[in-house]
Amino acid sequence: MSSTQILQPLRLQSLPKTMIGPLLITGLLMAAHLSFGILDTWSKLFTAIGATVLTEQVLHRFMTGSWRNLSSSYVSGISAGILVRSPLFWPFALTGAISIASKYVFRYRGSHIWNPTNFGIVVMLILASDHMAVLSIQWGNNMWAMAVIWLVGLFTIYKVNRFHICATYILAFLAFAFLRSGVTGELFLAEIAPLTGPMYQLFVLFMITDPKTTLPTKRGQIVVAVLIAFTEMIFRFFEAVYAPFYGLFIVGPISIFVWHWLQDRKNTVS
Amino acid sequence: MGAIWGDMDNDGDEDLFLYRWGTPTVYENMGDESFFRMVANNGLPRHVNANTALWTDVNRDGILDLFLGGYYHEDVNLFHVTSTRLMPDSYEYATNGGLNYLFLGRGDGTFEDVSKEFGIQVDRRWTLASTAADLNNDGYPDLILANDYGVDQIFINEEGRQFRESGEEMGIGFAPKSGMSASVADLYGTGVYSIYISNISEPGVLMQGNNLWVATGKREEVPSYQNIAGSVGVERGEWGYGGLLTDLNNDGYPDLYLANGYISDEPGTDYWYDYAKVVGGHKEIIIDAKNWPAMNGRTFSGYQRNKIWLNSGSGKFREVGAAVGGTEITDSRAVAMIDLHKDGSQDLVVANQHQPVLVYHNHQEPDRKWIGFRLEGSQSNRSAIGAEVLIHWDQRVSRQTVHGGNAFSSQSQRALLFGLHDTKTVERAEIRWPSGVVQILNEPETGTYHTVLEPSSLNGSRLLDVSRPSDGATTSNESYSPDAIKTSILPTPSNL
Repeated sequence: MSSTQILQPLRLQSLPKTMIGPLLITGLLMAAHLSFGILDTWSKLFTAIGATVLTEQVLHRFMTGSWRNLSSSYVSGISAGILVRSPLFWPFALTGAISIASKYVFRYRGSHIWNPTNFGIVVMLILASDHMAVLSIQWGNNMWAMAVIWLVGLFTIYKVNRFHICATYILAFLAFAFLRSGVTGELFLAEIAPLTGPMYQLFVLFMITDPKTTLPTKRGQIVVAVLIAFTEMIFRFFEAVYAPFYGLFIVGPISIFVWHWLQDRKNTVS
Repeated sequence: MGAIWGDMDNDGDEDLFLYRWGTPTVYENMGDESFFRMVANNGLPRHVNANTALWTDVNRDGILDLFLGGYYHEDVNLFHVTSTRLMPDSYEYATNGGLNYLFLGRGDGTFEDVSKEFGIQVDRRWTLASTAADLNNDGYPDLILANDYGVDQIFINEEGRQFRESGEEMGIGFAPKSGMSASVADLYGTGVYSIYISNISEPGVLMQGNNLWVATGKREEVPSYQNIAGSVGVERGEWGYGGLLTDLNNDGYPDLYLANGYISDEPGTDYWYDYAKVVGGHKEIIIDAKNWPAMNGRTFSGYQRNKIWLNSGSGKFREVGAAVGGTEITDSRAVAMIDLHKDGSQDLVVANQHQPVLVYHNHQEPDRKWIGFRLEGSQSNRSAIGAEVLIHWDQRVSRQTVHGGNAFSSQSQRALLFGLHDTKTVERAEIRWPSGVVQILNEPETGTYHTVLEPSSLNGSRLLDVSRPSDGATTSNESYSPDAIKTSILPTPSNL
C-alpha cells in the first residue's frame, strides 16, 4: 500500500455498499441516545440485535449452507431496537426474529417481498399490541439535531441513488397532509407533525429505500413512494397511529407482484 | 390540586397548605375551630401552576419547610390564557415547565424562598408529584420528583444547606417517561427504601411501564437503583396517577395501590390517534395548543380500573383488584391511606376526576397483627414530619417515614402503621427524629397505636434509649414520657 493511499481520506464512495446502512443507523442511534437517551436500556437493543443476527445466521445456514453477512441483520436489529417500545424484553426479540424470518419465508422470484423490519413491526402490532408500541415521540427538541440527522441521512441516501424515493415520499406526504387537513378540518401543521419526528426518519431513510424490496426502475420507485403515501393517508383517515407502516406493508409486496406481472406481459408481447 | 396538613407554627394544631394552578394559600389554624387565610406577604409566590407540595424540614431546625412543584410555566394562567404557546416543548425531554420552589419556614406562617440557594431551580421540568425520604441515611430528607414529559429527579439533601440533583448518578434520571406519582417504602423488610413511580401505558400506542426502583448498591455515597418493576409484576399499569405503597394486608410487606384512568368521555371514541400524531412533531408544532386537535368529547385512556398489587415478600406482586372489591371504573387521581376505624387496617381514600370520592374500608384477616406509632416532635417539628420508625421483628427490620405529602397530590395519615403478619412481638422500635435524637422502645406492645413524644437529648448525646415501662401496661393511648429516657449505645444507621 502506498503512502498516497494511506493519506487519502475515507470517501463514502469507497465504502462497500453493505457498510453504509450499518454505519448510518449506528451513527443515528449513537447521536440520538447520547444526546437524549432514547433507549430505555442497552440490553433491549442488544436483545433485538442478537435476535436478528441469530435468526439470520440460523436460517441462512439452513437454507443455503453458508453464513450470511451480518450487515442486513444488524440494521434490522437496530431498527427494531429503536422502534419497539415495550417494558418487556421479548417483544424486542420477537420483532427481530419475525423481521428476519420473513425474508426466508415470504419470497417471490428469488427475493423477499417485505422490508424485514416493516414486516416485523406490523405483525407485532397486530399480534402483540397489548405488550408493545412503536416509537412515536420526538427525540429531544433540538432543531439542529433533527436537521443534521435529515441532512446526513438524505446525503447518504443520495450517494446510494435512493434520494428520489425519499423526496417523492416526503412531497407526497405533504400533499396528502394538505388534503387531509382540508377534509378533516385539522390544522396543516398538525397533519405534518409526524414527519418531523424520529419514527419517520427511520421510515423514510431506511424502510422505503430498502434495495431488496423496492422496484428496480427509478420510475417504479417514484410511483410506489406516492402509493405508499396515498395508502398511508387512507389509514390516517381511519385514525391508524402507525399508518406509514401499514401503507408500506400493503403497497410494497403488491408493487413487486404488479411489476413482475407487467414485465412478464411485456416480454410475452415482445 | 391538593392540600397538605402540618403544624407549621408548632402550636399544637394542624395548619393547611392548599396548592393549585393559581395562588398557593396557607390556612393557619387559630385553635378555635377557625382558620386564618394567608395569601399575601407570606413569602409565597402569587401564581404557581402547582401539582404537588410537601411539608418537610430540610434543615432539621424544628420548623416545617415547604416544597412546591410547578407544572405549567408560572407565566401561564390557564384561567386567563394570553398565548397558546403553553404546551410542553417535547413529550419526553421538555424544558419549559414550571419552576419548583423550596421555602424555609419561619414558624409564624411566613416563608423564605431559598429555591435558588438550595439548588432546586436547576431546570424547568414538569413536576407532577413528589415525596421526601432519607435515601442515603444521612439524617436529612431527600426529595424524589416524578416529572411528566421527562426524566425523574432525586435531589440529595446535603446537610440541610443545599440539594444536589443526583437522579442520573443514582440510575433513575436517564430514561424519560411521564412521571405521575412518587411513593417510597421498605418493600422487603431490609430497612432500605424502594421508590415507585407511575407512568403511562396504552397498549399499541405508548408503553412506558411504571418504575419500581430498588437500591442495589452505593455509588459516591448515594444509593444506586435498578428498575425491577417488570420482573416483580408491577410495570403494566395503564394511564397511571397516584401509586401508593402501603401494607394493605398487614403481612409486613408494603403492597401497591395504583389509580388509573385519564378521561372517560364518549364511549367508543379515542383521542390517542390525534395525540400520537402531534407528539411526534417538532417542538414548534407541539408547544402551541392551537396545533392540537380538539378533543370534542372523545375518551382518552378512560374507563380504566385501578390496580391493587399484593406484595408476596418473596419478590413478586400479584394483582388482586377484582378479588378484593377494587373493580370500579373511574378516572382516579389521588389515593391516600388512613386507618379510619383505628383498628390497624389501612383503609383507602381515592379521589376521582368529576366523580365521587371512593372510600375503601379494609377488612383484614382477624389474626393479622400490627403496631402503630403516633409521633409528636418537641425539638423536631411538632408534626414529626420526616421522623422515621424502624421496627425490629421476626429477624428483620421494617422502616417507615412520616410524610408531609406523597404519591399524586395526596397526603396519607401521619401515624405510622406496621403489619406484622402473625408475629405477636416486636423486639424494639427505633425512632429517628428529625432533630437527630434516636429513641428506642423495647418490646412495644402490638395491636395498638403508641403515642410517642420526642424526648430531649441528654448531654448532647444523639443516641437515646426510652425503655418500655416495666409493668408492660401499654395502652392505645399511652404516651411515652421523655422523663423515662436513659442513654445507651445503639447500632448506627449504616448497620441497616
